[in-house]
Amino acid sequence: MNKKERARQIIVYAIYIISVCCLQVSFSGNFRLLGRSCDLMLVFVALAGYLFGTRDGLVVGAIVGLLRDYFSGTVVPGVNLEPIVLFGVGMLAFFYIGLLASVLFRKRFRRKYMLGILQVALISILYYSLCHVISFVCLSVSGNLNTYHSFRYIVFSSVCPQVMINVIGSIPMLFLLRFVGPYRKGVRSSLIDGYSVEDRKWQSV
Amino acid sequence: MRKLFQNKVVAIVAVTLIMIAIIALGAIPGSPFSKITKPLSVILDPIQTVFEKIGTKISDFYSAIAEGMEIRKENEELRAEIAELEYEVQQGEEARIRWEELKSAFSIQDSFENYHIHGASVLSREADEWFSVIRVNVGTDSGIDVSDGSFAVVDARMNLIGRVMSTDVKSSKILPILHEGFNVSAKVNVVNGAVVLVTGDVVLKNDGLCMVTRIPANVVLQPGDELVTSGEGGLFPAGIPIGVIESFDNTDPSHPTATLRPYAEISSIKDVFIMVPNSEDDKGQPELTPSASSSDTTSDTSLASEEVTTGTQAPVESGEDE
Repeated sequence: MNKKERARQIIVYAIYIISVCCLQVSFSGNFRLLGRSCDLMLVFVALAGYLFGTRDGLVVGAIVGLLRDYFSGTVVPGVNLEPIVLFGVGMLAFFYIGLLASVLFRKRFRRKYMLGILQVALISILYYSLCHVISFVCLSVSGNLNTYHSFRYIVFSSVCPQVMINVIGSIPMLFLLRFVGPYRKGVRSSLIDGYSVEDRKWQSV
Repeated sequence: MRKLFQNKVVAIVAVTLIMIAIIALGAIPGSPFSKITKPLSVILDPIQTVFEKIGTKISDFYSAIAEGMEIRKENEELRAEIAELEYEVQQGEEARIRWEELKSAFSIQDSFENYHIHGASVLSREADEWFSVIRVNVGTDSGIDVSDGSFAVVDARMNLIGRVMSTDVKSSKILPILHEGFNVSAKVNVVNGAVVLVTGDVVLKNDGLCMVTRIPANVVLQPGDELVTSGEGGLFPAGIPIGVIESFDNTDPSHPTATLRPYAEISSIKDVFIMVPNSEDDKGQPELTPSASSSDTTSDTSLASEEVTTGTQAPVESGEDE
Protein backbone atom coordinates (compact mmCIF):
# COMPACT_ATOMS: atom_id res chain seq x y z
CA MET A 1 0.00 0.00 0.00
CA ASN A 2 1.53 3.31 -1.07
CA LYS A 3 1.33 6.57 0.88
CA LYS A 4 -1.61 7.86 -1.12
CA GLU A 5 -3.64 4.74 -0.51
CA ARG A 6 -2.72 4.76 3.16
CA ALA A 7 -3.81 8.40 3.50
CA ARG A 8 -7.08 7.65 1.73
CA GLN A 9 -7.66 4.66 4.00
CA ILE A 10 -7.12 6.70 7.18
CA ILE A 11 -9.20 9.68 6.06
CA VAL A 12 -12.12 7.56 4.85
CA TYR A 13 -12.09 5.44 8.00
CA ALA A 14 -11.98 8.59 10.16
CA ILE A 15 -15.00 10.04 8.34
CA TYR A 16 -16.89 6.77 8.63
CA ILE A 17 -16.13 6.38 12.32
CA ILE A 18 -17.03 9.93 13.33
CA SER A 19 -20.19 9.94 11.18
CA VAL A 20 -21.40 6.56 12.33
CA CYS A 21 -20.82 7.31 16.00
CA CYS A 22 -22.35 10.80 15.90
CA LEU A 23 -25.36 9.59 13.91
CA GLN A 24 -25.97 6.76 16.32
CA VAL A 25 -25.86 8.80 19.52
CA SER A 26 -27.60 11.89 18.15
CA PHE A 27 -30.34 10.75 15.82
CA SER A 28 -30.96 7.08 16.44
CA GLY A 29 -34.14 8.00 18.31
CA ASN A 30 -35.55 9.60 15.13
CA PHE A 31 -35.23 6.44 13.05
CA ARG A 32 -36.90 3.69 14.98
CA LEU A 33 -38.50 0.51 13.74
CA LEU A 34 -40.23 -1.91 16.10
CA GLY A 35 -39.15 0.44 18.89
CA ARG A 36 -35.48 -0.03 18.12
CA SER A 37 -32.89 1.78 16.07
CA CYS A 38 -30.07 0.33 14.02
CA ASP A 39 -26.80 -0.11 15.89
CA LEU A 40 -24.68 1.53 13.21
CA MET A 41 -21.49 1.18 15.22
CA LEU A 42 -21.86 -2.57 15.53
CA VAL A 43 -22.82 -2.96 11.88
CA PHE A 44 -19.86 -0.88 10.76
CA VAL A 45 -17.31 -2.75 12.87
CA ALA A 46 -18.71 -6.14 11.88
CA LEU A 47 -18.59 -5.29 8.18
CA ALA A 48 -15.15 -3.65 8.36
CA GLY A 49 -13.74 -6.73 10.06
CA TYR A 50 -15.49 -9.11 7.72
CA LEU A 51 -14.59 -7.36 4.48
CA PHE A 52 -11.18 -5.92 5.24
CA GLY A 53 -9.51 -8.34 7.61
CA THR A 54 -8.30 -8.73 11.18
CA ARG A 55 -6.12 -5.64 11.44
CA ASP A 56 -8.86 -3.32 10.19
CA GLY A 57 -11.43 -5.07 12.35
CA LEU A 58 -9.36 -4.74 15.51
CA VAL A 59 -8.35 -1.12 15.01
CA VAL A 60 -11.75 0.09 13.83
CA GLY A 61 -13.45 -1.94 16.57
CA ALA A 62 -11.29 -0.47 19.32
CA ILE A 63 -11.74 3.11 18.10
CA VAL A 64 -15.50 2.81 17.59
CA GLY A 65 -15.79 1.13 21.00
CA LEU A 66 -13.79 3.95 22.58
CA LEU A 67 -16.15 6.52 21.07
CA ARG A 68 -19.15 4.47 22.21
CA ASP A 69 -17.73 4.62 25.72
CA TYR A 70 -17.10 8.32 25.40
CA PHE A 71 -20.47 9.34 23.99
CA SER A 72 -22.76 6.99 25.88
CA GLY A 73 -20.85 5.02 28.47
CA THR A 74 -21.72 2.16 30.73
CA VAL A 75 -22.82 2.55 34.31
CA VAL A 76 -23.34 -0.44 36.59
CA PRO A 77 -25.02 -0.40 39.97
CA GLY A 78 -22.50 -0.67 42.78
CA VAL A 79 -22.78 -2.87 45.83
CA ASN A 80 -23.56 0.10 48.12
CA LEU A 81 -26.13 1.54 45.66
CA GLU A 82 -23.52 3.96 44.32
CA PRO A 83 -23.38 3.60 40.52
CA ILE A 84 -19.98 2.98 38.95
CA VAL A 85 -18.92 4.36 35.57
CA LEU A 86 -17.05 1.77 33.53
CA PHE A 87 -14.90 3.29 30.81
CA GLY A 88 -13.48 0.88 28.25
CA VAL A 89 -16.17 -1.78 28.17
CA GLY A 90 -17.28 -0.70 24.70
CA MET A 91 -13.69 -0.59 23.53
CA LEU A 92 -13.09 -4.14 24.70
CA ALA A 93 -16.39 -5.45 23.31
CA PHE A 94 -15.97 -3.85 19.90
CA PHE A 95 -12.33 -4.88 19.69
CA TYR A 96 -13.52 -8.47 19.91
CA ILE A 97 -16.43 -7.86 17.53
CA GLY A 98 -13.89 -6.65 14.97
CA LEU A 99 -11.73 -9.69 15.59
CA LEU A 100 -14.63 -12.10 15.47
CA ALA A 101 -16.01 -10.57 12.29
CA SER A 102 -12.66 -10.97 10.59
CA VAL A 103 -12.25 -14.67 11.41
CA LEU A 104 -15.79 -16.02 11.59
CA PHE A 105 -16.66 -18.01 8.47
CA ARG A 106 -13.79 -16.35 6.62
CA LYS A 107 -12.82 -19.40 4.61
CA ARG A 108 -16.32 -20.50 3.72
CA PHE A 109 -17.73 -17.06 2.95
CA ARG A 110 -14.54 -15.74 1.37
CA ARG A 111 -15.75 -12.26 2.26
CA LYS A 112 -18.53 -12.27 -0.31
CA TYR A 113 -20.32 -8.98 0.02
CA MET A 114 -23.88 -10.06 0.46
CA LEU A 115 -22.96 -12.67 3.02
CA GLY A 116 -21.68 -9.80 5.15
CA ILE A 117 -25.33 -9.28 6.05
CA LEU A 118 -25.42 -12.77 7.53
CA GLN A 119 -22.26 -11.96 9.43
CA VAL A 120 -23.92 -8.85 10.88
CA ALA A 121 -26.92 -10.95 11.95
CA LEU A 122 -24.73 -13.54 13.66
CA ILE A 123 -22.63 -10.99 15.49
CA SER A 124 -25.75 -9.04 16.53
CA ILE A 125 -27.29 -12.18 18.03
CA LEU A 126 -24.08 -12.93 19.89
CA TYR A 127 -23.55 -9.37 21.12
CA TYR A 128 -27.09 -8.75 22.40
CA SER A 129 -27.38 -12.20 23.97
CA LEU A 130 -24.07 -11.72 25.78
CA CYS A 131 -25.09 -8.23 26.91
CA HIS A 132 -28.23 -9.66 28.49
CA VAL A 133 -26.23 -12.37 30.25
CA ILE A 134 -23.60 -9.91 31.53
CA SER A 135 -26.27 -7.43 32.60
CA PHE A 136 -28.09 -10.17 34.52
CA VAL A 137 -24.87 -11.29 36.22
CA CYS A 138 -23.82 -7.73 37.13
CA LEU A 139 -27.21 -6.91 38.64
CA SER A 140 -27.30 -10.20 40.55
CA VAL A 141 -23.79 -9.78 41.93
CA SER A 142 -24.41 -6.20 43.03
CA GLY A 143 -27.67 -7.22 44.71
CA ASN A 144 -29.73 -4.79 42.63
CA LEU A 145 -31.71 -7.31 40.65
CA ASN A 146 -35.38 -6.62 41.31
CA THR A 147 -36.64 -8.24 38.14
CA TYR A 148 -35.19 -9.24 34.79
CA HIS A 149 -36.64 -9.77 31.33
CA SER A 150 -38.15 -13.15 30.59
CA PHE A 151 -36.41 -15.42 28.08
CA ARG A 152 -39.33 -14.88 25.71
CA TYR A 153 -38.92 -11.11 25.92
CA ILE A 154 -35.17 -11.32 25.33
CA VAL A 155 -35.59 -13.48 22.24
CA PHE A 156 -38.69 -12.00 20.63
CA SER A 157 -38.74 -8.40 21.82
CA SER A 158 -35.07 -7.58 22.26
CA VAL A 159 -32.65 -9.68 20.22
CA CYS A 160 -34.80 -10.55 17.17
CA PRO A 161 -36.05 -7.01 16.41
CA GLN A 162 -32.57 -5.59 16.94
CA VAL A 163 -31.00 -8.17 14.64
CA MET A 164 -33.62 -7.37 12.00
CA ILE A 165 -32.97 -3.64 12.22
CA ASN A 166 -29.22 -4.19 12.10
CA VAL A 167 -29.57 -6.39 9.02
CA ILE A 168 -31.59 -3.67 7.29
CA GLY A 169 -28.99 -1.08 8.30
CA SER A 170 -26.15 -3.24 7.03
CA ILE A 171 -27.37 -3.05 3.41
CA PRO A 172 -26.57 0.65 2.80
CA MET A 173 -23.44 0.30 4.92
CA LEU A 174 -22.27 -2.57 2.71
CA PHE A 175 -22.74 -0.47 -0.42
CA LEU A 176 -20.86 2.41 1.18
CA LEU A 177 -17.91 0.21 2.08
CA ARG A 178 -17.95 -1.35 -1.37
CA PHE A 179 -18.20 1.81 -3.46
CA VAL A 180 -16.84 4.65 -1.32
CA GLY A 181 -13.95 3.05 0.46
CA PRO A 182 -11.82 2.82 2.50
CA TYR A 183 -10.14 0.87 -0.31
CA ARG A 184 -10.36 1.46 -4.02
CA LYS A 185 -12.97 -0.80 -5.61
CA GLY A 186 -13.87 -1.99 -2.16
CA VAL A 187 -11.11 -4.56 -2.14
CA ARG A 188 -8.10 -4.79 0.11
CA SER A 189 -5.48 -6.20 -2.18
CA SER A 190 -3.43 -7.93 0.50
CA LEU A 191 -6.44 -10.09 1.36
CA ILE A 192 -6.91 -11.24 -2.24
CA ASP A 193 -3.28 -12.37 -2.38
CA GLY A 194 -3.88 -14.48 0.66
CA TYR A 195 -6.55 -16.46 -1.12
CA SER A 196 -4.99 -16.65 -4.61
CA VAL A 197 -8.32 -16.67 -6.36
CA GLU A 198 -7.74 -16.62 -10.12
CA ASP A 199 -10.51 -14.36 -11.33
CA ARG A 200 -10.01 -11.84 -8.47
CA LYS A 201 -13.76 -11.55 -8.17
CA TRP A 202 -13.91 -13.56 -5.01
CA GLN A 203 -15.69 -10.86 -3.10
CA SER A 204 -18.81 -10.86 -5.28
CA VAL A 205 -21.58 -13.33 -4.59
CA MET B 1 10.22 -8.96 22.91
CA ARG B 2 9.39 -7.51 19.52
CA LYS B 3 9.13 -11.00 18.07
CA LEU B 4 6.81 -11.94 20.88
CA PHE B 5 4.46 -9.08 20.04
CA GLN B 6 4.53 -9.98 16.36
CA ASN B 7 2.59 -13.04 17.36
CA LYS B 8 -1.05 -11.99 16.81
CA VAL B 9 -2.44 -13.96 19.72
CA VAL B 10 0.06 -12.50 22.17
CA ALA B 11 -0.65 -8.99 20.87
CA ILE B 12 -4.42 -9.47 21.20
CA VAL B 13 -4.08 -10.86 24.71
CA ALA B 14 -1.81 -7.95 25.68
CA VAL B 15 -4.28 -5.38 24.31
CA THR B 16 -7.13 -7.14 26.09
CA LEU B 17 -5.26 -7.03 29.39
CA ILE B 18 -4.52 -3.34 28.94
CA MET B 19 -8.20 -2.64 28.26
CA ILE B 20 -9.31 -4.62 31.30
CA ALA B 21 -6.78 -2.68 33.39
CA ILE B 22 -8.21 0.61 32.07
CA ILE B 23 -11.76 -0.51 32.93
CA ALA B 24 -10.77 -1.67 36.43
CA LEU B 25 -8.62 1.34 37.29
CA GLY B 26 -11.13 3.77 35.77
CA ALA B 27 -13.87 2.38 38.04
CA ILE B 28 -11.93 3.34 41.17
CA PRO B 29 -13.25 6.67 42.48
CA GLY B 30 -10.67 9.44 42.19
CA SER B 31 -8.43 7.40 39.93
CA PRO B 32 -6.56 9.39 37.24
CA PHE B 33 -7.88 6.82 34.74
CA SER B 34 -11.37 8.21 35.29
CA LYS B 35 -10.10 11.41 33.64
CA ILE B 36 -8.92 9.54 30.56
CA THR B 37 -11.72 11.01 28.45
CA LYS B 38 -10.76 14.65 29.06
CA PRO B 39 -8.46 14.94 26.01
CA LEU B 40 -11.11 13.23 23.88
CA SER B 41 -13.64 15.78 25.06
CA VAL B 42 -11.67 18.67 23.59
CA ILE B 43 -11.62 17.05 20.14
CA LEU B 44 -14.91 15.18 19.97
CA ASP B 45 -17.37 17.56 21.58
CA PRO B 46 -17.03 20.32 18.95
CA ILE B 47 -17.41 17.71 16.19
CA GLN B 48 -20.45 16.23 17.90
CA THR B 49 -21.93 19.72 18.33
CA VAL B 50 -21.49 20.42 14.61
CA PHE B 51 -23.24 17.13 13.78
CA GLU B 52 -26.03 17.97 16.16
CA LYS B 53 -26.51 21.41 14.62
CA ILE B 54 -26.39 20.11 11.05
CA GLY B 55 -28.94 17.45 11.91
CA THR B 56 -31.22 19.96 13.58
CA LYS B 57 -30.97 22.35 10.61
CA ILE B 58 -31.78 19.57 8.14
CA SER B 59 -34.66 18.47 10.29
CA ASP B 60 -35.91 22.07 10.61
CA PHE B 61 -35.61 22.62 6.86
CA TYR B 62 -37.70 19.57 6.01
CA SER B 63 -40.16 20.45 8.73
CA ALA B 64 -40.50 23.95 7.28
CA ILE B 65 -41.28 22.53 3.83
CA ALA B 66 -43.58 19.82 5.05
CA GLU B 67 -45.44 22.03 7.44
CA GLY B 68 -45.41 25.27 5.36
CA MET B 69 -49.18 25.78 5.16
CA GLU B 70 -49.68 24.78 8.72
CA ILE B 71 -46.94 27.15 9.85
CA ARG B 72 -48.51 30.06 7.99
CA LYS B 73 -51.83 29.49 9.68
CA GLU B 74 -50.15 29.02 13.01
CA ASN B 75 -48.18 32.21 12.44
CA GLU B 76 -51.35 34.26 12.13
CA GLU B 77 -52.71 32.73 15.29
CA LEU B 78 -49.44 33.37 17.07
CA ARG B 79 -49.42 37.04 16.09
CA ALA B 80 -52.78 37.47 17.74
CA GLU B 81 -51.51 35.55 20.73
CA ILE B 82 -48.37 37.72 20.95
CA ALA B 83 -50.49 40.86 21.19
CA GLU B 84 -52.47 39.24 23.97
CA LEU B 85 -49.33 38.06 25.75
CA GLU B 86 -47.64 41.44 25.52
CA TYR B 87 -50.50 42.82 27.52
CA GLU B 88 -50.13 39.97 30.04
CA VAL B 89 -46.36 40.58 30.27
CA GLN B 90 -47.03 44.15 31.28
CA GLN B 91 -49.40 42.88 33.94
CA GLY B 92 -46.87 40.24 34.98
CA GLU B 93 -44.11 42.78 35.34
CA GLU B 94 -46.21 44.73 37.76
CA ALA B 95 -46.95 41.55 39.69
CA ARG B 96 -43.24 40.70 39.77
CA ILE B 97 -42.34 44.05 41.29
CA ARG B 98 -45.06 43.53 43.87
CA TRP B 99 -43.76 40.01 44.60
CA GLU B 100 -40.23 41.32 45.16
CA GLU B 101 -41.59 43.82 47.63
CA LEU B 102 -43.56 41.13 49.47
CA LYS B 103 -40.59 38.79 49.45
CA SER B 104 -38.37 41.33 51.10
CA ALA B 105 -41.09 42.11 53.55
CA PHE B 106 -41.79 38.58 54.66
CA SER B 107 -38.28 37.14 54.05
CA ILE B 108 -39.71 34.39 51.91
CA GLN B 109 -36.95 32.02 50.92
CA ASP B 110 -36.84 31.04 47.32
CA SER B 111 -36.59 27.36 46.67
CA PHE B 112 -33.05 26.25 45.91
CA GLU B 113 -31.65 29.73 46.07
CA ASN B 114 -28.46 28.20 47.45
CA TYR B 115 -27.95 26.37 44.20
CA HIS B 116 -26.35 27.60 41.05
CA ILE B 117 -28.35 26.28 38.09
CA HIS B 118 -26.40 25.47 34.91
CA GLY B 119 -28.46 25.09 31.75
CA ALA B 120 -27.21 22.51 29.25
CA SER B 121 -28.30 20.93 25.99
CA VAL B 122 -28.25 17.21 25.34
CA LEU B 123 -25.39 16.30 23.01
CA SER B 124 -25.78 12.56 22.72
CA ARG B 125 -28.12 9.87 23.92
CA GLU B 126 -27.96 6.16 24.51
CA ALA B 127 -26.25 3.93 21.95
CA ASP B 128 -28.19 0.87 23.09
CA GLU B 129 -29.76 -0.59 26.23
CA TRP B 130 -26.39 -1.03 27.89
CA PHE B 131 -24.72 2.19 26.80
CA SER B 132 -27.45 4.47 28.02
CA VAL B 133 -25.84 7.51 29.57
CA ILE B 134 -26.77 10.98 28.31
CA ARG B 135 -24.05 13.51 27.46
CA VAL B 136 -24.66 17.25 27.86
CA ASN B 137 -22.66 20.26 26.76
CA VAL B 138 -21.36 21.67 30.04
CA GLY B 139 -18.23 20.46 31.74
CA THR B 140 -15.43 21.47 34.03
CA ASP B 141 -14.94 24.72 32.11
CA SER B 142 -18.42 25.72 33.32
CA GLY B 143 -17.67 24.80 36.90
CA ILE B 144 -19.21 21.32 36.88
CA ASP B 145 -16.75 19.02 38.59
CA VAL B 146 -17.87 15.77 40.18
CA SER B 147 -14.55 14.86 41.77
CA ASP B 148 -16.02 15.69 45.20
CA GLY B 149 -19.49 14.27 44.61
CA SER B 150 -22.32 14.49 42.17
CA PHE B 151 -25.08 16.93 41.26
CA ALA B 152 -28.79 16.61 40.70
CA VAL B 153 -30.12 17.23 37.21
CA VAL B 154 -33.63 18.55 36.60
CA ASP B 155 -35.73 19.57 33.62
CA ALA B 156 -37.27 22.96 32.87
CA ARG B 157 -40.09 22.21 35.32
CA MET B 158 -37.66 21.28 38.10
CA ASN B 159 -38.57 17.60 37.83
CA LEU B 160 -35.76 15.15 38.53
CA ILE B 161 -33.98 13.77 35.47
CA GLY B 162 -30.92 12.12 36.94
CA ARG B 163 -27.48 12.89 38.30
CA VAL B 164 -24.11 13.90 36.90
CA MET B 165 -21.80 10.89 36.76
CA SER B 166 -18.63 12.26 35.20
CA THR B 167 -17.36 15.44 33.64
CA ASP B 168 -14.95 16.33 30.88
CA VAL B 169 -13.74 19.75 29.80
CA LYS B 170 -16.77 20.63 27.74
CA SER B 171 -19.28 17.92 28.51
CA SER B 172 -20.73 15.81 31.28
CA LYS B 173 -22.39 12.42 31.50
CA ILE B 174 -25.80 12.21 33.11
CA LEU B 175 -27.18 9.01 34.58
CA PRO B 176 -30.91 9.14 33.83
CA ILE B 177 -33.53 8.26 36.43
CA LEU B 178 -34.68 5.21 34.45
CA HIS B 179 -31.22 3.60 34.42
CA GLU B 180 -30.92 0.48 36.59
CA GLY B 181 -27.89 2.01 38.31
CA PHE B 182 -29.86 5.05 39.47
CA ASN B 183 -31.35 5.34 42.92
CA VAL B 184 -32.65 8.19 45.03
CA SER B 185 -34.18 8.44 48.47
CA ALA B 186 -37.71 9.79 48.11
CA LYS B 187 -40.68 10.60 50.27
CA VAL B 188 -44.38 10.79 49.70
CA ASN B 189 -45.20 14.44 49.23
CA VAL B 190 -47.48 14.86 52.23
CA VAL B 191 -46.78 15.96 55.78
CA ASN B 192 -44.64 13.25 57.45
CA GLY B 193 -44.72 11.24 54.21
CA ALA B 194 -43.07 7.81 54.18
CA VAL B 195 -39.46 7.65 53.00
CA VAL B 196 -38.83 5.11 50.23
CA LEU B 197 -36.15 4.27 47.67
CA VAL B 198 -36.70 4.94 43.96
CA THR B 199 -34.48 2.91 41.63
CA GLY B 200 -34.21 2.29 37.93
CA ASP B 201 -35.25 -1.16 36.80
CA VAL B 202 -34.21 -3.16 33.75
CA VAL B 203 -37.71 -4.33 32.94
CA LEU B 204 -39.68 -1.24 33.91
CA LYS B 205 -37.48 1.22 32.05
CA ASN B 206 -38.89 0.03 28.73
CA ASP B 207 -42.25 1.37 29.87
CA GLY B 208 -40.70 4.56 31.24
CA LEU B 209 -41.24 3.49 34.85
CA CYS B 210 -39.11 3.21 38.00
CA MET B 211 -39.25 0.77 40.89
CA VAL B 212 -40.08 1.94 44.41
CA THR B 213 -38.67 -0.26 47.19
CA ARG B 214 -37.94 -0.07 50.92
CA ILE B 215 -41.53 0.95 51.56
CA PRO B 216 -42.23 0.82 55.31
CA ALA B 217 -44.42 -2.14 56.20
CA ASN B 218 -47.38 -0.11 57.42
CA VAL B 219 -47.47 2.21 54.42
CA VAL B 220 -49.83 1.73 51.49
CA LEU B 221 -49.05 3.82 48.46
CA GLN B 222 -51.94 4.86 46.26
CA PRO B 223 -51.77 5.40 42.49
CA GLY B 224 -51.39 9.13 42.00
CA ASP B 225 -49.31 9.71 45.14
CA GLU B 226 -46.51 12.12 44.36
CA LEU B 227 -42.93 11.34 45.36
CA VAL B 228 -40.30 14.02 45.88
CA THR B 229 -36.65 13.73 46.84
CA SER B 230 -36.25 13.31 50.60
CA GLY B 231 -32.88 15.01 50.85
CA GLU B 232 -31.36 12.02 52.65
CA GLY B 233 -27.86 11.22 51.50
CA GLY B 234 -27.10 14.84 50.68
CA LEU B 235 -26.77 14.42 46.93
CA PHE B 236 -30.24 15.58 45.93
CA PRO B 237 -31.82 18.57 47.67
CA ALA B 238 -35.13 17.76 49.31
CA GLY B 239 -38.35 18.51 47.52
CA ILE B 240 -37.49 17.91 43.87
CA PRO B 241 -40.55 16.29 42.26
CA ILE B 242 -39.80 12.80 40.91
CA GLY B 243 -43.10 11.39 39.71
CA VAL B 244 -46.33 9.71 40.68
CA ILE B 245 -47.09 6.20 41.88
CA GLU B 246 -48.59 4.10 39.13
CA SER B 247 -49.20 0.84 40.96
CA PHE B 248 -48.60 -0.71 44.36
CA ASP B 249 -47.80 -4.38 44.95
CA ASN B 250 -48.22 -5.76 48.45
CA THR B 251 -48.23 -9.48 47.62
CA ASP B 252 -45.10 -9.89 49.70
CA PRO B 253 -45.95 -7.87 52.84
CA SER B 254 -42.35 -7.89 54.01
CA HIS B 255 -41.15 -6.35 50.73
CA PRO B 256 -43.89 -4.22 49.24
CA THR B 257 -42.97 -2.56 45.96
CA ALA B 258 -44.52 0.05 43.72
CA THR B 259 -43.98 1.44 40.26
CA LEU B 260 -43.47 5.12 39.66
CA ARG B 261 -43.93 7.15 36.50
CA PRO B 262 -41.36 9.98 36.49
CA TYR B 263 -42.57 13.42 35.50
CA ALA B 264 -39.56 13.95 33.26
CA GLU B 265 -39.76 12.43 29.79
CA ILE B 266 -36.18 11.34 29.34
CA SER B 267 -36.58 10.21 25.73
CA SER B 268 -37.64 13.64 24.47
CA ILE B 269 -35.67 15.88 26.76
CA LYS B 270 -33.42 18.37 24.97
CA ASP B 271 -32.34 20.72 27.73
CA VAL B 272 -31.42 19.97 31.32
CA PHE B 273 -30.43 21.99 34.37
CA ILE B 274 -27.63 20.95 36.71
CA MET B 275 -27.97 22.05 40.33
CA VAL B 276 -24.61 22.94 41.83
CA PRO B 277 -24.53 24.05 45.48
CA ASN B 278 -23.04 27.53 45.80
CA SER B 279 -20.61 26.41 48.48
CA GLU B 280 -20.13 23.71 51.11
CA ASP B 281 -21.92 25.82 53.71
CA ASP B 282 -24.93 26.21 51.49
CA LYS B 283 -25.66 22.55 51.04
CA GLY B 284 -28.76 22.92 53.16
CA GLN B 285 -32.00 21.27 52.28
CA PRO B 286 -34.53 23.96 51.46
CA GLU B 287 -37.96 22.63 50.59
CA LEU B 288 -39.41 23.14 47.16
CA THR B 289 -43.02 24.11 47.04
CA PRO B 290 -44.98 21.11 45.71
CA SER B 291 -46.78 23.32 43.23
CA ALA B 292 -43.59 23.44 41.18
CA SER B 293 -44.23 19.89 40.01
CA SER B 294 -46.02 19.06 36.87
CA SER B 295 -46.66 16.04 34.75
CA ASP B 296 -46.21 18.14 31.65
CA THR B 297 -42.52 17.73 31.00
CA THR B 298 -42.24 18.42 27.33
CA SER B 299 -38.73 19.57 26.61
CA ASP B 300 -38.26 23.26 26.58
CA THR B 301 -35.70 24.07 23.95
CA SER B 302 -35.54 27.70 24.92
CA LEU B 303 -32.55 28.02 27.16
CA ALA B 304 -32.83 31.74 26.67
CA SER B 305 -35.85 31.87 28.94
CA GLU B 306 -33.62 31.33 31.91
CA GLU B 307 -35.61 33.04 34.61
CA VAL B 308 -38.77 31.19 33.69
CA THR B 309 -37.12 27.80 33.72
CA THR B 310 -36.53 27.51 37.41
CA GLY B 311 -39.20 29.71 38.78
CA THR B 312 -36.67 30.74 41.38
CA GLN B 313 -34.14 33.44 41.93
CA ALA B 314 -31.29 30.98 41.58
CA PRO B 315 -28.69 32.15 39.07
CA VAL B 316 -28.95 30.31 35.78
CA GLU B 317 -26.24 29.83 33.22
CA SER B 318 -26.70 28.47 29.78
CA GLY B 319 -24.15 26.03 28.40
CA GLU B 320 -24.85 27.30 24.93
CA ASP B 321 -24.09 30.83 25.85
CA GLU B 322 -20.69 30.01 27.20
